[in-house]
Amino acid sequence: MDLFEYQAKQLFAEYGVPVPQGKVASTVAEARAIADEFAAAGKPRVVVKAQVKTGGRGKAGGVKVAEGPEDAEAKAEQILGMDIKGHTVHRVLVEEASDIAEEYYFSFLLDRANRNFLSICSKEGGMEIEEVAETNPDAVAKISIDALKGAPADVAAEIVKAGNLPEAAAAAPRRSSPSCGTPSWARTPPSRR
Amino acid sequence: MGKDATLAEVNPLILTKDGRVVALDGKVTLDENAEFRQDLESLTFAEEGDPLEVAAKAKGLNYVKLDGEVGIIGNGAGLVMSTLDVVAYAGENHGGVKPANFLDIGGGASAEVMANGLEIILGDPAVKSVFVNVFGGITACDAVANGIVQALELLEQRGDDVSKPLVVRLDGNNAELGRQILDERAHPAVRRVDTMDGAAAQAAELAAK
Repeated sequence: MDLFEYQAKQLFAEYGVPVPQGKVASTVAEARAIADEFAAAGKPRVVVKAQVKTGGRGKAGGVKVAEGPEDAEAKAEQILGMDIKGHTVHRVLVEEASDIAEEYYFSFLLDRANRNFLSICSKEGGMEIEEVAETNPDAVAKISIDALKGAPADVAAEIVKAGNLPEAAAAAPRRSSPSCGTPSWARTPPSRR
Repeated sequence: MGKDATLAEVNPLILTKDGRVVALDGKVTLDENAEFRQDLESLTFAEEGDPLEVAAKAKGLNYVKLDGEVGIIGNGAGLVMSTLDVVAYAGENHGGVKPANFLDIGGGASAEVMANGLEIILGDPAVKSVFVNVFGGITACDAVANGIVQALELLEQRGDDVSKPLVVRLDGNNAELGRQILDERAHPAVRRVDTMDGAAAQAAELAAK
């Protein structure tokens, strides 16, 4: 079962993986209220992201940056109800905008063929990893993860080195680390229905 | 691992200008087979997903919506999967028509399960023809044939439209008896074909019209 982005991030936050602050909204008014909260906290710039279980949301116009609450309301209006590859957008995630310096790709997945877990990471983030693997295979690092050992510090360091990830990435995932800042929506139930 | 995830993907993982590492997007797949020890219920929403799949799930059917025009019903996952292949292959001669779904009604093939399956498939506007592919084993073909006949009657009673052509292939245990039952009933929508390849070709041809 695939999770929505906001559910995935909620899970990440639970495990101490830093995620942007954000809340999910199912109506335009809710999205506006969230953007108002961010503006009051000195973060008027937000991203409104369609919550659908399919790729290519950005290209379909389902992810938009908004400059302030009014703009966020307008963007939410556009995105809610939108059809993205046959999926109707019922919810949007309203998040603080991030100043991106570099983009990476990182994942853990079940490696059935090797009866193990696998970590895939790459400096070439932000786009389809399948595409990167095809056009620039050297940029994609694959590290086998022992299912019993998991990914303790030494394995994390190995992954970071192999994938040319920033060193801070190895230290970042730590359960309930105060520096990670649990996003407010992680504390409230996701459903607003 | 604690959540029985089969995928946890962060794309992009970013380095912010002030040097923080942040997961800017997140894709997680949880293993549905771990449902017994995970709370998946709280993460799902009834209105999400394909409406036909949602309806099929509510009826307890093993149904997966696909992109084609030929509705598929079979007994046993292996038979249904090979049926998909055969129909897709036959479809190449008929303008590239493809299977519209995967539906395994399993053993038993009672009239009710057959009716539920047909209801879902006939309710799919993309479906132009239906291929019912049954190999009689423990559940003999005559039982399945009776199931089909009763299912059609059940749907007609409910006022459902059952005019889309139904290509039925029965083989295996008591095949002759099953075929006889279908012939006696002679439902206008039902076309009986004895071989899997022949039935796939006819279903594809009907869907291409």
